Amino acid sequence: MRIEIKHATKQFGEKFVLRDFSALFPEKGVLCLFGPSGCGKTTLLNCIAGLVRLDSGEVTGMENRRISFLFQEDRLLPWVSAEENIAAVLRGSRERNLREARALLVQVGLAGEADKRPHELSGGMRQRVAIARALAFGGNLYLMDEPFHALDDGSKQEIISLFREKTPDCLKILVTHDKREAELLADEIWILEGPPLEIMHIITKC
Amino acid sequence: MIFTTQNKKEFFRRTAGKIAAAVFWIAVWEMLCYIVKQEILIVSPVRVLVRLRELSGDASFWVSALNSMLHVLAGFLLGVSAGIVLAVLTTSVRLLYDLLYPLVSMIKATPVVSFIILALVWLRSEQVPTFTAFLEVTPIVLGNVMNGILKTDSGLLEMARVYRFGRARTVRRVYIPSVMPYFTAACTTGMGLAWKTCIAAEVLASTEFSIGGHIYDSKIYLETADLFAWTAVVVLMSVVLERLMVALMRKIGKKYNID
Repeated sequence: MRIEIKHATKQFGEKFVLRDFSALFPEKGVLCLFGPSGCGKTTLLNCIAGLVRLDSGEVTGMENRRISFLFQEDRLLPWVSAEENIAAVLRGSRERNLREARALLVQVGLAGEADKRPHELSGGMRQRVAIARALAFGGNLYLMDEPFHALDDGSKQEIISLFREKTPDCLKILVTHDKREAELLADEIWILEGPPLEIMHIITKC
Repeated sequence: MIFTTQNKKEFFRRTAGKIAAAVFWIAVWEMLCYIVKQEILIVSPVRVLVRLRELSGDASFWVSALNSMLHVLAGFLLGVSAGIVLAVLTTSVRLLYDLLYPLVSMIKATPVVSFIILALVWLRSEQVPTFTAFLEVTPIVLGNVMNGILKTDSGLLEMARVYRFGRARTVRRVYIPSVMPYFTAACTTGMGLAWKTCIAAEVLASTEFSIGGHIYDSKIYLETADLFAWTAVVVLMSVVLERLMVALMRKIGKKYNID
């Protein structure tokens, strides 16, 4: 079932970030939400994730959704190593979790950094750990809030290819205000303006 | 820890500095005694040592020291437990915070001797030191731990929610490590405070077989040497206990950091 937002309204104080906003999301692929800072795209993402509650309206098609959320910041636990950060979202045998964590770290290009703490890693490396964590959690919906700002073009493409390869049937919503990033990574781009958030234009590649 | 030559040099330099500072202050102390020349006002370090040796020959010395330490530990541990429980409750139930706030402010502002004298009316004299230490330690731990819980990174809490940590894992992985530095600070302050209040309570209650009881006697008989000797015992035990506690907490902290 596709995710759909119906007549969503969200107000912060006097400001309407969403006002009777409706949209039907694609079933899979990489969807870029492209728009200027503060237009309401992050709020939209948070509403889908259930981190922000709508004042009115609804999000449907969320049954049996397991969300892997990539935040703008890395949001790693500062007191444990990279591999422990990834294992923290897994359940079951600790040994197996750590093994899986290390395997994922290799895939995001951090083979030798498994036992380093976040403060020992660069910004780009921390973001890669967060990406590995999102993959480890194994959601069927990937919400990404400008997670690639610390990475160069090559790395962005590499990471997105990894997502495509590992999660071919899942929808990946990528929020960005970088036009080149949108063109580089997306299957479909929504050009947004706001607040209140509005879809100005939809570009479908293929 | 690996000691390189550089580290070793630095370590010896620091230790030498500490010893020099101690020697300096003992010399100042000795000088003062030499100038004042009245043992009832100030007692020389040598005399204190001699008196300590005399006192420690007696079994009651050890019983008293142990007793006081138990008073302190009991009061401290009760205070820490109550502080943690109250901090968790007040941060989860806003109403409880509003309810407890005036009480805690009142306890913080009340002179400790008022509690001691009141407790003397309520309780048996050997319970008074523990009770007052508990009263003084609780608000410190409560305030610090509460602060730590409230200052826990909301971004990490959101992450824990999205990745379905559940309550147990959120507490273990996010809250406890965040609160740990605040808790350690509260324990260090609380331990010093527990000693001070306990001894004060023992003096006022003239508790039998306790350091405070002996300090009370030294006041009655104007035995200033005894006062100095017993005070030295308190300082020593307080420092040792605090060090032990910090070492223990570091061990526990390490477990939560790495594991």
